[in-house]
Amino acid sequence: MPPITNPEILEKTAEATALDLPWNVVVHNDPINLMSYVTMVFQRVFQYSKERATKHMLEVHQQGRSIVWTGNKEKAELYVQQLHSHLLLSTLEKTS
Amino acid sequence: MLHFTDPPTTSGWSEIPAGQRARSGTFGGECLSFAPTPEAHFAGVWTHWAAEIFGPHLLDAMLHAMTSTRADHTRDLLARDAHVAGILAPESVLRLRRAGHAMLGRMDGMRGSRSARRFRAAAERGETPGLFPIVFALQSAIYNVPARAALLAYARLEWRAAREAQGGPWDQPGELDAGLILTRIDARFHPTIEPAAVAAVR
Repeated sequence: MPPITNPEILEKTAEATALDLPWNVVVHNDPINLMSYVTMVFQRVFQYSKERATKHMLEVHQQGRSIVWTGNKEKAELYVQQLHSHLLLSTLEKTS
Repeated sequence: MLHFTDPPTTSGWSEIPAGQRARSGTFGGECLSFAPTPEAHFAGVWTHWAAEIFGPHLLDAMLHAMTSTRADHTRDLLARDAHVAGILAPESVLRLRRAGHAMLGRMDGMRGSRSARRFRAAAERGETPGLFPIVFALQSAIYNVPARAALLAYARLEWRAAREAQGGPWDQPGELDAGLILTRIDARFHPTIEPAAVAAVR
């Protein structure tokens, strides 16, 4: 095979590494759970104080949603699963 | 979110004596249809309630009420309300009416649901009992809550109301035998195929 004397570079590739963005655990408002129950679930799942749990509960109630926790994806998924098991409507979203 | 601690915002509770309307506390500190006496074995009565009241009666009535709400079939909704009132003890009916009317009084907007508005008007006029399980199903339907979650949440409210009525702790969800309720809900959604039917297919 003849040697390539003048190779044509079609595409340059580069690698870059960066820290992953954290994920938010978002709880949405629903019409079936009592306010006191939601506060209790926040206290149990996240070990929040009553005041902090109440603040998030009121945020959900008044604004329709509240970011209750932010961190790595695996733990966020676990929290969402635990919130679902308590019948709370929760989702994950990547921080922008 | 649900809250029952404020007084109702609408009138129309004329049929219910003033002293018996919803008071402070989740349900005025009283039971709903699950009403164990203080000396009764709580878990035992809960099992009985799930098997005799929730499974055969409330579950079906609530599922039908959800379907009727979505389809805007107000007459079916009213019929289901009257049916449940006919099968429960009068004191249970009165308690469920109080809770149902309290919930109706706090429902605002109703997301444009015609059947919800009609049901509420009928309850306020005293033409239908306005029982809590039906109102709960109605609200769940207009907010598109999945039926399984709504039914389990309803059972949990029954459990909590009885706990509060007895002065016991309500914040121990592990004590609620959710499996007992879920078994009945799942049996309703996925009934076991009869062996005879399987044999016929073969």
